[in-house]
Amino acid sequence: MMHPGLKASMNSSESNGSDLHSAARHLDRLTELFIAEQTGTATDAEHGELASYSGAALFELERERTLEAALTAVAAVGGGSMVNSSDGHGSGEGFAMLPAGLRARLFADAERCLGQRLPERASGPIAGSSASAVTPNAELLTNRGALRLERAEGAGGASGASGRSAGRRRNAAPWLIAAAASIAAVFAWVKPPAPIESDSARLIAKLAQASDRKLIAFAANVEDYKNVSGSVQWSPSMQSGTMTLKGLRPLAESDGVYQLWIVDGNRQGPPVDGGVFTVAGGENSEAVVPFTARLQVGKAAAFAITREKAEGVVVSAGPLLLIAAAK
Amino acid sequence: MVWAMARQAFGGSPAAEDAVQDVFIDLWKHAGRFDRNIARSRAFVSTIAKRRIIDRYRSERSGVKGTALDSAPEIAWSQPVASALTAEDDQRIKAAAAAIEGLPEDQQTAIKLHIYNGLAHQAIADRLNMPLGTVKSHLRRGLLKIRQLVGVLPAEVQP
Repeated sequence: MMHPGLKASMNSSESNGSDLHSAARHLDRLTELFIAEQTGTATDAEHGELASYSGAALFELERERTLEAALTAVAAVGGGSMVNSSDGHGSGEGFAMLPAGLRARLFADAERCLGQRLPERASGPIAGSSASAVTPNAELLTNRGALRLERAEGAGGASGASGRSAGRRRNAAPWLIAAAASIAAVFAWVKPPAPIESDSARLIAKLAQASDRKLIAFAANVEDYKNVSGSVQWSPSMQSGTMTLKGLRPLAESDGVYQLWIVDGNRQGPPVDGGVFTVAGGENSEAVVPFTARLQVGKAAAFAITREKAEGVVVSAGPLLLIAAAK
Repeated sequence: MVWAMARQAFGGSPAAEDAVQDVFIDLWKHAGRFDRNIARSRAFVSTIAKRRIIDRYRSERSGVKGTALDSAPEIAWSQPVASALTAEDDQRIKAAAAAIEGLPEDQQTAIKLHIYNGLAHQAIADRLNMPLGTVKSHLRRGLLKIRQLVGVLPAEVQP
């Protein structure tokens, strides 16, 4: 049933200022209610109030406008993969939650629409495909035990198009960039990740559940890093944490690596080594790096990032590029 | 991204999976219409995803059963329309991204965790060490701002 106030305002044949004011007020309220609905924050009373508005044409339009805004926001926040829910916060929850049945359906549809069996499905991972482009949350720094979770632009995986007909390739070559990303991302999930990836993913998942974790924002300490943003989450009980960093410049091999330091308020001497890491991707890429303190940290007073030679150092000479100081 | 969008609209219901399937069938069918000179692939995909998810949303709300895959009505995908839509959508996504990036950090993080990760409010509150009520108001204010900037349906899907 349409809300009486809205119905009266909409049906008025002789709209006056009062009617318009009333309609505007109801639309504002509707918007508030739909936003509460979309964000899952609506109370029982608000659900009831929404029900009292139902039936009006404007009701559905407003609802769809809010939904569309929410969908656009998801697209804006989302990473490069078309199907993965790379979240930039290290959980990888979205992709992990993609049901197996749905994956199978997507494969079957793709094969039916493209008119041939996908090579990825028949014979294993895509030969020569770019892992960084198609599995944006699963590229590993296996040599140092650090997991690099990065966002890749969707336009990076053209090589995943291998195996399809040349005619289709010509016709839809740009599109295949996205298509390959989707299929390969699906396949990447189907294939078990390397053990070290699982370990890191498990660490991230476990950290997300740690009740004592604290979030501290990074701030640039030198001019060159002023555009870098991010934060560190630290769990004292686990002696581990994750860094989320956006805008951190990828380093060429000759430029060394980044190294994390943990300043222990209870410890004399140099900061505790948090491990070395690198990032990949463009300026807007977001990297999530899990880490574990090499020594027991009693009171994490601050976290700092330096740039060091390739294997890292025991004691850094600085400079400190980014600092996250606990309040 | 598509899965996250579907979950935003349908939560954990089976309709979310159906919507993702709708989207990908459209994507496969219209592969050749993508023009990277006009919009990024992500904008192209999100354009189709939004249309199909809203279509599915409407049919779910009206109780209409989904059509068979091969007979699913096509969106008006003549080349000019498709091009205009993806360019328009590219702008919208940028506007939404700007809106999100313009939010205070706490709000920004909360809304990202919610709309993209699908985290429950309490989980967000725990993760950010915030009171639950603060998380909720962050989410509302954040989405309101995004809606103000991008919450206009394109003409072809308006009733």
